[in-house]
Amino acid sequence: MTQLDLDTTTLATAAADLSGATSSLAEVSSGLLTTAAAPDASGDAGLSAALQGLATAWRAAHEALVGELGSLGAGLSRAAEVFEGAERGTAQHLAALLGGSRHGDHA
Amino acid sequence: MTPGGRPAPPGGELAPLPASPSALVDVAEAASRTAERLADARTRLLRVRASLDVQRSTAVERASERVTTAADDARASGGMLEAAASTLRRHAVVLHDAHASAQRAIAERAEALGREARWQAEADEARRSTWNIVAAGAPGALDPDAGWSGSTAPGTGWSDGEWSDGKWSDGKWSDGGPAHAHLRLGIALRELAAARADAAAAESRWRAARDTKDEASRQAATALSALADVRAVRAIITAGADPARLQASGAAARAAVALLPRAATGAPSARHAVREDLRHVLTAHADDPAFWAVFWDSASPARLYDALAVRPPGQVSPVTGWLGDVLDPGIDDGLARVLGEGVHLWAQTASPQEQHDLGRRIVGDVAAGAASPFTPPGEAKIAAALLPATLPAAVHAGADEALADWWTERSVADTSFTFLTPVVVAVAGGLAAHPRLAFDRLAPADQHRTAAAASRWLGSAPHAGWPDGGRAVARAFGAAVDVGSTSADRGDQARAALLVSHATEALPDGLLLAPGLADEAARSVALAYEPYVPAMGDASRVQGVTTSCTGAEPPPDPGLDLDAEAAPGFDELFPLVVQPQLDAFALRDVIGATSRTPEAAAAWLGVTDRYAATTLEHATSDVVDADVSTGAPLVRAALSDIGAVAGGMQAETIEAAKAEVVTRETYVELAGAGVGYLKFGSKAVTEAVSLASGPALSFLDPEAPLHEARETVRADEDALVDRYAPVMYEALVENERDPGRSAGELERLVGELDPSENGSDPAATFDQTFDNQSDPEEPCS
Repeated sequence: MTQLDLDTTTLATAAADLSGATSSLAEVSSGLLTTAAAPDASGDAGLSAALQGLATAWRAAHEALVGELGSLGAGLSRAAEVFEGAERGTAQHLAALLGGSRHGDHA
Repeated sequence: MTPGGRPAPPGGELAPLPASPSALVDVAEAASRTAERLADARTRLLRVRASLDVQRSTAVERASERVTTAADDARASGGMLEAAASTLRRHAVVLHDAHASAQRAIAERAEALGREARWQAEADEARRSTWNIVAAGAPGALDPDAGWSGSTAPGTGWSDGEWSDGKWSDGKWSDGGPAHAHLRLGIALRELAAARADAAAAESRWRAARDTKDEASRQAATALSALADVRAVRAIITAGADPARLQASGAAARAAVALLPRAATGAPSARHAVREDLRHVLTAHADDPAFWAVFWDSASPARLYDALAVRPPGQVSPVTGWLGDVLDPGIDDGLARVLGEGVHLWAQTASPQEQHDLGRRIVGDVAAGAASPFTPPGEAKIAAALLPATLPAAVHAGADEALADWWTERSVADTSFTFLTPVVVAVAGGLAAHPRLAFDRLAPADQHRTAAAASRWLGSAPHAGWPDGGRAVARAFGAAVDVGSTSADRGDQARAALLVSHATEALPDGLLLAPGLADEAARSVALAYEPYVPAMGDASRVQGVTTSCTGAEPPPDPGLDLDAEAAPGFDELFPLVVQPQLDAFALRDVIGATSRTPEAAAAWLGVTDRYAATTLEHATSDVVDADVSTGAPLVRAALSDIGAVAGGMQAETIEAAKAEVVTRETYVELAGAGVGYLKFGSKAVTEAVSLASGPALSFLDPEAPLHEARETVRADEDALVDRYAPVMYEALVENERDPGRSAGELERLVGELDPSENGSDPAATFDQTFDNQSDPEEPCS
């Protein structure tokens, strides 16, 4: 049997926390190192190439991180909603099952 | 032309150096600020993970893993940016100094060139004056090209800038005769030379500054290139090491990867030399996390096998065993440890998915050639070395999935099983080290796959036996059963029970049939059955009734003992475990095969001791309502169960007397599996019984070391009854004795368990299952 022991408030808080971290990171420039890679700045073709490679790696890492955090935050937020809804629905269903013919009870 | 009439330098030469140190510092500051923001993000992520860790849901656990990975990524990216910022700052300082040096050199050169131009003009003028005087026939003319070499000139008296026939001031002669003209020329030439020397020195300083900048740029570029390898950065930061190490480690790893194809092709002597180089590099970086991070990003297991394994000349079929070791030692223990540690270091910075993928490739790459007679046998050893049990579970999960694929696709006639034996043992070791993984792989949630898993792991063995005596496979089995049987979840318990049901059918034809079964392996199997002793008596009784020759009864259904569970509060005190469906005949074979030596049989004796002690605890506990019944039924059931185990332990002793055993003994001897395989059974048990000093009551004494009981084996039926029945009876009597209870009442409650009576109930109960299991009537079918 699938076992669940979840606190929807905690899930929602975690989702909000993740969202905050995502926003904070999203503001950071993914082209951070590109300025240094310009020939006038580095003054050396080899150094420019290395900086360009590093800038590319950072851009990929940054985008992946922001994407992953965004996806996780959205997933947790959605999970909190779904679980909250399911819990409410189950409680109402149980109330209907166990509470006889009375309708409108909300556990 | 320059002011001094020199040719202009080539483009860029002697010009201000390019690059902007201040721009690099600005980027470094921005990178540091971003690294700080990443550190903040990581702190938030760790807080999120902490909040998720108290939640209970598979999906949330997965989310927690993803948060952990993201936190690691944030730390690695921050580390990368910090290291880049540090490199840029260092480089900016060098660049600034080089710029300043170059600028000074340019200015000094310009000044020197100005002087050069002036003195050149002066020299030209002096030379003209000299030749005019010489042409006029004046005596004492000097050779202007002899230059000025001393403080005085011939025929002159120089003192503090004064000249007897003229005066030197403001850089020119105010008056002069022939000697003066020569002196003027000499001084001009000296100053001209000095100016030229100064210009050359300034140019040299400029070039030095340029070279310093170029070298610093090269070093910075190398360091920054290394930082672009994100995994290497993760490795080095996880290890708490200086990212500056990345450069050397990354270069060495790339060099090692470049050696792989060279070690796999070409003339044998050249290959040998390259292999030695490769071995040297790998060993030198055994504990270098950045090296392995870069290495496993570029290398594939298949490449490594090709490079390190050697195919014996003329090999046309798999060569394994000691002969295979001689022809292709593959790798020595030292290199095996290095490779295993390398994967371990790599795994510390890899995501679970990456770990899973590498595990799959390690096995998949070696399994791909397992059936080929041309594949060097050393490849399997190398693959096994890459899979130490200490690796994360995800690596072994991937490895076992690849093994399952190979098992499904292989041809029964091929020899790939023999070839891959070291790999299978390594993966089994990994499963044993990760009990939850062992449970998921051997007792999968999809219960339709349990039979196949049991067949693959427990119902099969290499012809020559497991090189480790079956220890790893048996431990994996034990770990899987332990996880399920100790879980509070009835679903998990049912999965473990189903595994044991299938294992009981599979083991006698696989793990337990293979020659060379180690006592430790037998013990692991015996202990795996400990939670299921309560089902053994029933199985034996139900299936042992074959005298009417109406065919074999099916084994009792699996599940829980509902009668026991019905007692209020019983399950809280003595947790019940879902029982497997046990085939009594297969069970007899399992018990018999795992009690062939005193050491192995002692494990079963330990199992029955603990079972008897627990049963007695149940029977005399408060949860048994003495007014309604006593613990007698529990004791009777336990004696039946213990009889089944004890009978199973005797099975091979009885069988040894039969022709079938003679055949098996002959087979074993012919197979060269050594002496004593079957002889041991009866002899060991008999010796143990003769050494036993009366009924062992160690199970009642919590302080008594269990080993003492395990060192003796009670093979004799009467001795085994005496081991348990009297003690349990006396404990029951003591428990039921009550001032208000008459002797007759006491006799009515527990008298039937008095073992002193001839043909007593306990003896009969024990004997029934004991006889069934030790010398059963085979079903007439």
